[in-house]
Amino acid sequence: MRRHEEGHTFYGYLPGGASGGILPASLGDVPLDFDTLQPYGCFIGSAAVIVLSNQDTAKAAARNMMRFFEHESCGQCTPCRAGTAKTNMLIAKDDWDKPLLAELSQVMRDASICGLGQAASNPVDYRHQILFQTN
Amino acid sequence: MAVRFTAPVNETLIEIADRLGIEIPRLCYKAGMEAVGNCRSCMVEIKGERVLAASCCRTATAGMQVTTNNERVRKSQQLVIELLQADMPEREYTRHNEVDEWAVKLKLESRGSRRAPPCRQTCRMPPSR
Repeated sequence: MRRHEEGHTFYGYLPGGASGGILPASLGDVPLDFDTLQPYGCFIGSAAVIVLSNQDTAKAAARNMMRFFEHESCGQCTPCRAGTAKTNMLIAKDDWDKPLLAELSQVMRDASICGLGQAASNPVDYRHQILFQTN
Repeated sequence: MAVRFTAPVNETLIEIADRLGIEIPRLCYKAGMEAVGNCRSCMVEIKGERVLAASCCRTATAGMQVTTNNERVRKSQQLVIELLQADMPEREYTRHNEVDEWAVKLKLESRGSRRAPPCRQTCRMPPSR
């Protein structure tokens, strides 16, 4: 990741699509492979790498992903249908209710019917957000 | 408390639990109707499986170990009921409200209560738009 756009610096990236997690630039040299991202709480998923610059924020990326998941949720099961909607409302605020978000994350992971609901909370996972020093 | 059980091949885990007197929450399940497994309030933990299972849709297999009441299972059941409660209207339309009844049984705090406006001010789970 050496090429820079004019006026942008490397801030972070999503290694594996919308549900693979978010990593900061300091971990930009982690090899992109099946077992290399697990220690950082991420996975390769679709290997669709999304690069974020200093004009983005991890929170903004999380909001973008969660809006996507809420929209794509088929609506069958409570954890995903209601969980994505509630998570969106909670993360729209400046201050995130981390314990409540963690509970929502857990029920979505454990009780959703399909992989969309199970992975939807990955972008807001505190393990990823906490790696970003600011915002 | 561990209970050993035997069951016929087509009996679901929720049917087995009912037969053994073990209480599992349920909303979309009704005996005699096809189980669809959508509400996700009947979740149980099956040893060796990554995610929880809907007990209304799963049949027992030899050697299967099922947990119906550990922290992880209870938390999941509570959250499902809480999510549904947060979206319910202020007034009840039915005398026997299953969601509220399960909330009491699962000892849910009034975090998502939709009962009185003052509670709503302090509750953490936002109601739907």
